[in-house]
Order: sequence, then C-alpha cells, then structure tokens
Amino acid sequence: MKRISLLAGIAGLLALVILGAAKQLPEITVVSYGGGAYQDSHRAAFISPFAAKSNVKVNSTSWGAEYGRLQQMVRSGDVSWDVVEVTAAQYSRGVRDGLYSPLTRPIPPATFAPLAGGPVPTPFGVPNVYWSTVFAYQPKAFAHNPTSWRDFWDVQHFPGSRALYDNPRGTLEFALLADGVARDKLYPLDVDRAFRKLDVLRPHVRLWWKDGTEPVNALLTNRVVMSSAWSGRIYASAAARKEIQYTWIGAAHELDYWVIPRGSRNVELATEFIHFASTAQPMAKQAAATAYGPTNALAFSAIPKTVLPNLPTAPENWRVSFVVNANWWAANEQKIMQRWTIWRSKR
Amino acid sequence: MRLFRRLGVIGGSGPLLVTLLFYVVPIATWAWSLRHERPGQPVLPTYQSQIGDSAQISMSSAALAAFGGATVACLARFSSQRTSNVLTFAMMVPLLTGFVARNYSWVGLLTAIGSHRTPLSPLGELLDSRAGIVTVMAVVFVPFVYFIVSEAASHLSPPLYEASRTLGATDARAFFVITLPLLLPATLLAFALSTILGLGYFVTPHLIGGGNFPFVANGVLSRLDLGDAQGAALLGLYLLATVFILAGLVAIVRAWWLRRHEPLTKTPHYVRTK
Repeated sequence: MKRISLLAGIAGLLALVILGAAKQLPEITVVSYGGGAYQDSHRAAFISPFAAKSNVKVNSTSWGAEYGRLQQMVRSGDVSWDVVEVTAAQYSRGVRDGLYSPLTRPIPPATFAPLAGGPVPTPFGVPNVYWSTVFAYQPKAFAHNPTSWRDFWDVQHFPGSRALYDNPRGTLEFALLADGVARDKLYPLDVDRAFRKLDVLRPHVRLWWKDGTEPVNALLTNRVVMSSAWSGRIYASAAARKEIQYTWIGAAHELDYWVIPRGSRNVELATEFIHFASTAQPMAKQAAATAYGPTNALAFSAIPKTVLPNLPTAPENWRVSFVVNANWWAANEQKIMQRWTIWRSKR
Repeated sequence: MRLFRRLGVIGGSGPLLVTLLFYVVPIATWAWSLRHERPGQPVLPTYQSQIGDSAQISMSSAALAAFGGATVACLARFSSQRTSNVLTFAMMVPLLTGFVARNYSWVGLLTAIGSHRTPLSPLGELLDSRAGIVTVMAVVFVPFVYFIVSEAASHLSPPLYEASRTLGATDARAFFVITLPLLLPATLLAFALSTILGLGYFVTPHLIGGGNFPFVANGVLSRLDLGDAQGAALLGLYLLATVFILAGLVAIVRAWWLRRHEPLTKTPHYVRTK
C-alpha cells in the first residue's frame, strides 16, 4: 500500500513537472537604456501590455549603452538579449559592424508615421524615443537662476558643487557651449578645447553619475547645486518636479533605436515586440510617464495636453537646444571614450 | 612520493610550487604574449592612480578596521559573557545585510532631504570624498577583523596577566608584552584579508566616492565597456600582482613578529602531547 502511495506521489510530481514545462511561455529579454523610472515606463507602456497581449514572458533589464559590452556579447555568440535600446550613434556603428539582425518584417506605414524630417524605421532598427540631457539646478541655492552652460561653469557667481554624466557624449558639447561655441557650430567637436574646459570645472565636480537617478537624488539632497540630468528622470519624480528646476537652453537631444542583437534566438518575437512598441498608444503612454518625445507622429494625439510642452520635441524646447550628431559620434565614439576613460582615471 | 616531496609539490613549499605552476606561469605567459598585440597601448601608466587609490584606500580602511575590530575583540574577551555575546551579535548583524544595501544606507544616512535630517547628516561632506570611502570600507571590515582576532584573543589568559603583575608590570607594560604580541599576528592577518578584499571593491568607490576615486575594478569595467577585454584582463593582472605583493609583505612582517616573540607565541615543547 505504502509503495503504491509512493509511486502515485512520484507520478503526480512528474505530471506537475511535465504540465509546467508544457505551459512554459516563450520568453524574450528587452534591455532599456537606463533603469529606474525610465525602465518602469518601459514596463508599463511596452513590456506588460505586450506580454499580456501576446502571451509571452518578457524579461526587462537595463544597461548603460556600453557598446563594447554588446559587441562582446554578439562576438561571443552567447546572446542573452533579444531587444536592445541603443543610441543613434550606436545604431549606426552596430549596422556597420554587423551587430544587429534584421527585423523579420518591416513596420507597416499604417502604424508608424515619422515626424516631419525625423528618423524612419529601417530593416535593422526602429527609432524609439527622443530624450534630453538638460542643465538642472537647485533653485534655493541661488539668488537668481542660472540660465546657460556658461553659468554652469561659472563657479564664482554660482558657487557650489556640480555633477556631470560620466560619459563624453553630450558632456563635451556642454563644455564647448560653456566656452562660447554656437549651437550650430558644435560639430565637428573641438575635442581638445572641450577637455581643456572640463579641466577647469573638474575640481568642482563632486559627482560623476552613471545612472539617471543619481543627479536627481544629488540635487534633492543638496549634495550638488547643479547637474546635467535626463529631463525624463526629473519629470517622472513628483518631488523633483517640485524642488528642481531645469532649462531647455543648450539641452542635448538624443535619439534611441530598438535593435535585435545578432545571435538572438527569438528574432521573430523580438520583431513582434518592436512592432508593438512602435505603435501610437504604447508610445503615448511612455511619453506621458517620462515626457520623452515619441518618434511616431500618430502618438501625439494620445498624449495628455499638459505633457506636450515638456517634451524635447516641443517647438519651443527644440528651438533652443541641439541634437547630438549621431554620425559624428558613430565615427569618433571609440577613441573619444578611450580618451575619456584615461582622463577620468587621472588626477 | 619522495620525488614529489623533493620537488616541493607536497610539504612546506608545495602550495607555492602549485601556485607558480598553475597560476603565475600561465598568467605571466599570457601577459608576455600581449606585448605584441597591444603595441603602444600601455595600461599601467594610465591606471597608476587607480591602482594607487585602490591600494592606499584599502590599506587605510583595513588599518582603521584592524584597530577597531581588535579593540572590540579585546573588550569582548575581558567582558562578562553577556556583554561578549552582545558585542558578537552586534558584529554579526551587518553581515546579514546586503553589501549594496549597506552602501545605499550610508548615502541615506549622510544626506538630508529638506528638513528630514539624520544624526549623521552634518557629516555629509564625507560623501564623494576619499575619507568617506575609507570610513565606509572600514565599517564593513570591522566584523571580519573582529571574528579573526577573537580567536587569538581567546588565548589571552588571566594567569599571564597575574604573573606579569606579580613581577611588577604596569597595565601598559602588560599590554605591550602580552596583549600586543599575542594579538598582532591575527590582527595582521585580518588587516591583510581586509586590504585584499578592499582592493577589489567596486560599489563603494562609485556610490560613496561619487566616481571621483575609481578603483581597479571600476577600471576593469570601463575597459570592458569599451570592448577592450585584454586591457581589462591586464588590469586584473596588476590587481593580482598587488595582492601578491601585499600578502607577501604582511606574511614577512608576521613571520618576523612571531619569531621575535617566539617564547610567548609558540607552545612550549614540554606542553605538547603525543
């Protein structure tokens, strides 16, 4: 009797395991550029709705857009990511280096209308979002508000610690703007001049941030009085919206793409995800959470009116800022990153 | 077997030979081969400050922790059983918390949001500074030191102190002729272990140091992010060399100390049992 019970128990367990395996959902991994509130917006707007709609398990993770990391992964052949959000410069570099798989089918024009003069979907990637690095500050620290990157560098009239993104992309441009270079004359970047200008500010830079949450926290806790910051991270936090101010003057706009790394084992599902994430409703939902600019013109009608003036693509914001030149960075990123790493490691 | 013993594979210098054969030689050969593949790309000169910072900060924090941990271990040895248990428990508690969480807690403790202040908020300047990294790392290391030194402290027997007092020694003299000689070898070991642990730190230099004092591990990640796996591996090699040098130095000092205080630290032959 005991033996029969034991066998029945084992059979039951086996059945559970087999049923569990049979019910295992297909799985993809989506990688967002940046964690925190930005990744949360991806989860809410793209990942959870897509998982529910397609009956797919979608793992969400984030990275800091370190191109070498993606390159190593693809070259090793052990690719664990299926959809990756890359910068426009990395999109160009990756296409050139053969790092991406083409989508299995193109984005239907009925679901994606490019912005006027804006980026269009290609076989290797779909433009996803316009985001911005702005000049943010703690208004309580100053009698009158700073207004430009020149003020950011002016530690005499605006004393206090600064924080900067630990990445040359955008930061070099800000240094040149502070040094008097006009926005439309930024490219090709005078890299030596930018590093010289950064040398001047360096003793006052208290924090070199890597994650978008860091500058917001540093400003909220008065650890620094001024910082470069991703506008969406300030917008996504009610406390930051109340306590921190930022200006669009001299803001750096960047474009991200969804791509599929070569070697992904789920190209079909990845394509399906990118198709879904490029449609109007999910894009509008993400824009409402982060105030980042959708690349699909069809999304704008679904974005709340209160959010529209906060988008990087709002005409009044666009006019006073600049777009990071993806082609220049695609050609120079590797050597500038080398130089940046060495510059940062020396004192 | 005799051949193996003669070659040192087993016996006194066995571990050294095994380390040389299976660890140092392959790595050194690989590093030597890189000189052709990385012409004009010297990693060491550009990362001297990272290696220097890693070593200096790790040693400073390990020294602080060694002092603090050994003091608490002594206190526990000469306290009542209850106090000793409380101290041991207090040392164990931090080890039950995640390392990253502890670092974030320090950031929270040292900062103030509006009117929400903590008792440590006035020390906010410690954040993003070398002193801040040293302090946080020292606090992390104290429990390690405590548990290593506690073992040695258990050999501090009251009869030794009674004998020294009978011979007219003051408390201070008793400390220098009994406590210190007995505790120093273990404290040095704890110091070496803490330093070696600290050399590989990654989270604290970034979170507490604000990215101003990148350690070797931060440099390794930077190289990997650039796709320079060889550069990263080479930096790792420098880290390994630093560890070997430090461990060797501490071993030499420890051996010298043990020899110098042999009558006290070595069990007399007439006490040994067969």
